[in-house]
Amino acid sequence: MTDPIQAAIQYSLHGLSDRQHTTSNNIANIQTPGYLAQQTDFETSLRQALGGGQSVALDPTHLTSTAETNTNGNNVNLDNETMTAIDTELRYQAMVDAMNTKFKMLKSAIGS
Amino acid sequence: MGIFNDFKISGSGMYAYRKWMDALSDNIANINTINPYDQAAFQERFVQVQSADVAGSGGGVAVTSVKYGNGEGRLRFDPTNPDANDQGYVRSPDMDLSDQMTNLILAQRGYQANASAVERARSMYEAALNLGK
Repeated sequence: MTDPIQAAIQYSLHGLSDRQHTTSNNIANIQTPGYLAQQTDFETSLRQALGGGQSVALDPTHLTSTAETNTNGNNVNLDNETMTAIDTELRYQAMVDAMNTKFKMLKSAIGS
Repeated sequence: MGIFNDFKISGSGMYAYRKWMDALSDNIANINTINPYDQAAFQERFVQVQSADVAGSGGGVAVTSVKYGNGEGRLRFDPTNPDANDQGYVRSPDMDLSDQMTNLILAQRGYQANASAVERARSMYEAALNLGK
């Protein structure tokens, strides 16, 4: 039943939402001593799933930033987080539009 | 994973920075508080935070405790002060206005960063609600 494009868009929405979650968490902990920034990666598994023939677990992974830390052991960079948040928001909007286009095509196919 | 978790995360960040601003306001209000020699000076307020899982949202920050600074303060020679001891000393707090103001700006910027994260989370959730429309 699953349309691969629809599944890919759905997983992208999931991954982008996860990334926004990570970014919010990084910003909330921007001055927490010893906190290391986290990053979400869903593109790698999405690319594998779309490219290879084998089944891939579609689950975003989380990486810990290895950037240099401040004197309090924190390495959150507000510039990066802000850019990531804006980028993620726009991509999310684009994915919602893509999904709606998909739905519209389906609707016209069933003639309503 | 509940719904609208990013609000809880950014909300916890705003709360932590507001607590810090409260502590800093307290410090600034008492920057010139003089205590008698035989009492503790006003102790600087410090807010301690730790990253935490706030309300099951999978992230956020929590205020763990408020710590108090040095109660010995700075001895000030002020023999005309009615609170002065026989040698003419009173206690003033061991803190600087410049530090407090610097931290106040940091706290304010941190609060703003979290507030704008809320705004972005809101517009993303709004986009999600438009799915299928």
